[in-house]
Amino acid sequence: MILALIAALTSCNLDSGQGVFQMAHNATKKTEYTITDVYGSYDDNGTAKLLVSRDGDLWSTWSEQGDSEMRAEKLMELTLSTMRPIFVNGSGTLFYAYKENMTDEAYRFASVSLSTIAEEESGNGFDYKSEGTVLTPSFGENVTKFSSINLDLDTCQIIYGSGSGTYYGKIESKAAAENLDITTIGTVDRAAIVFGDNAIYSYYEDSDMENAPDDLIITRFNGTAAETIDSMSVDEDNIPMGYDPDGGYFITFDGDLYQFDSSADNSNGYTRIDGGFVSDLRYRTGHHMVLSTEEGERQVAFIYRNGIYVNEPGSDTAPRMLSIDNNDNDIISTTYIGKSAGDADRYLYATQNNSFIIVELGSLNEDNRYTTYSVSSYSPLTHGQLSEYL
Amino acid sequence: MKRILIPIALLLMLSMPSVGASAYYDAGSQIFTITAGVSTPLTYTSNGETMVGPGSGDGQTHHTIGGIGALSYQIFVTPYLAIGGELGYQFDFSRSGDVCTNVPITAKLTYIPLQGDFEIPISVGLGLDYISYDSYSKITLGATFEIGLRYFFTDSWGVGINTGLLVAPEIYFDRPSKNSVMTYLPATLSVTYRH
Repeated sequence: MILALIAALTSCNLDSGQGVFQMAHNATKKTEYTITDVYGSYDDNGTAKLLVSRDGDLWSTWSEQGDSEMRAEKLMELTLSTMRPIFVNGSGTLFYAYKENMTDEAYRFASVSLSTIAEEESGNGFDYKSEGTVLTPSFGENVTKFSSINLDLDTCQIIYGSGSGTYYGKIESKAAAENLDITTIGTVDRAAIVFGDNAIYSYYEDSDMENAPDDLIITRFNGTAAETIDSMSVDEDNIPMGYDPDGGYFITFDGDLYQFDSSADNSNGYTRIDGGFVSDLRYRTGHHMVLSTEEGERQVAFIYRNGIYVNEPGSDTAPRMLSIDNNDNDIISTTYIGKSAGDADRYLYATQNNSFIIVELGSLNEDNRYTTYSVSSYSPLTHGQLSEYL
Repeated sequence: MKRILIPIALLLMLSMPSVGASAYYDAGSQIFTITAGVSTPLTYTSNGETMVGPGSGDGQTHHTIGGIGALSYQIFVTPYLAIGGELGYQFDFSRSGDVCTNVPITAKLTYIPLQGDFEIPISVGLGLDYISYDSYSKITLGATFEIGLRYFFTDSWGVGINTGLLVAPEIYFDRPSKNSVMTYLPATLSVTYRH
C-alpha cells in the first residue's frame, strides 16, 4: 500500500502514448540520410530510375543487373533554394514550383529535363528561375498557396490557392504528364490537408477565419463537390493517418480512426473503426501508410517514419513498434513506392541509409497476432531489379 | 509475498550472528562510499514481453552498456547493520544515440557479515528514481541490490568491487499499456571512508 501510494504521488503523466522507457526502446537509429519524398520514376536510356528527395536535395537512384546495393547520384542541391520539385514524368521531365525570392507571394511553375539539370550542374549550375520551361498550369496563375503530395509513383495530389478559393486536385498518371494539368476535385479550407478523394482534413485556424470555429472538418467528394461529413473540435488526437495503397483511406479524428472506402457509394462513405486505440497515436503526427487491416478485428498495421506499428486486435493498448531487422536500418519514410509484381502483399518503401525496404506481411496465428513480419532492406541482387516494383 | 519476505529477511539479518571476525563497528559509526563503474542493461519488460541484454537487435533492450555511479552515507544502528541514503546516477544510450538516464534516490540498508580489513557489504535500497530520455522524464520507483568485497588499507579508507541490480519499474496507474520495467547490472569500483 505504501509503495502504491508513493507511486501514485510520483506518477506524473507524459503527454504521450508511450512511457519513458518505451520511448527509449522504440527509438531508432539516426542515420545520415533521409528520403522524404519519391517524386516518381523515369526512364533513363533503358534504366528505370527513381527521383527522390534525400536530405532535402535532389537525388536519382537506381539498380542495375548484378548490383547488390542501390546506386545513387546527387543531381542538385536544393537546401537553400526556393525551388520545390513536384514530380517527374516517365521521360525524365521534372515539374517544379519556385518563388523569385523568399518573400515572393506567388508561386511560379516550370519544367526541365533531368539531363539538362545534370548538364548545367556540371558547369555553372542550373538556374531554376531562368532555365526551365515556363508553365501555365491548368489551375491558373496567381497561386498563393501550393503543396503537393506524391501518394505513389502514379498519383500526385495538389492543393492550391488561387484568387479567394483553395482547391485540391490530382494528377493520376505522372508518367504521362506533359504539363501541370490537374483534375480539380473540390474546394477546401485554405489550411486543408487532403488524403485521397474522400478523406479531406480541414483545419480552421482562428487567425485565418475570424468567424469560423476552431474545428477540424472531414469532408468527402460526392462527385460534384466536397461535402462535410463530420466535424470536431481541434485537439491533439486529430491527426490525418494517410492512406492505404489498396484504395482505402484512413484518418484519425477526435480519437477515432476513420476508414474511408474509396469505392463506397453510400451516404457518408466512411466508417469509424475504433475509438480507443487511436487516441494512443497522438504522438505520431504525420503521414502514415496503412499496411493492412483485418476487418472485424480492428487491427491496423501501419508504417510511420520510424518504424512499423501494429495494434493488438480488439485491444485498446498502444500500438507496438515492430523490430524490423538486426541492422538498425529501420527508419522509414512514409513514401510508398509500389508492390512487387506477382505478389500482392509485398511493399517497397523508402527508408534511410539503405534507401529502400521491403515489407512482407505475415499471417495471423491462433492467438490472432501476426506471426512474422518479414522485412528486409532492399537489395537489387536479392530482390530483383527496382523495375519490378515500379 | 514479497511484503512478507522482506521483513522476515531483515529480522533474520538482524538476529544472525556474524560469520566473520568480531564486530568492527559500533552503533553510531558512519560510513561514506563513492562508487563508479559500468552498467549493463539486463532486461526491458513491457506489455508482457521481455528483452534481454544490451544491443539493438530483436529481443534486446535497445540500450548500450553505460556508466553508473553513486554517493552514499550511512550510520550503523547495530554493529552489523547500517542505514542511510544513496544518490545514484546511471546513463546509457538508445539506438537513436540519445542518452537515457536514471537518478535513483534511495533509502539504503547494508548488512556487513564480514567486517574489519576485508568486508562483504550486502545492501538493498528502495526509493524514487528520476528517469529521463530525450525530452521525456518521470519520477517513479527505484530499487537497488548490491553485494561487494572491499579492503581497508588504513583504518579509515578502503576500496572495493561491487555488483548487483538496479530495478526501475515505470508505473502508470491510468495507462497500464505504458508500464515497463528496466533492470540494470552494475559493476563498480568503490572508495569507502569509515569513521
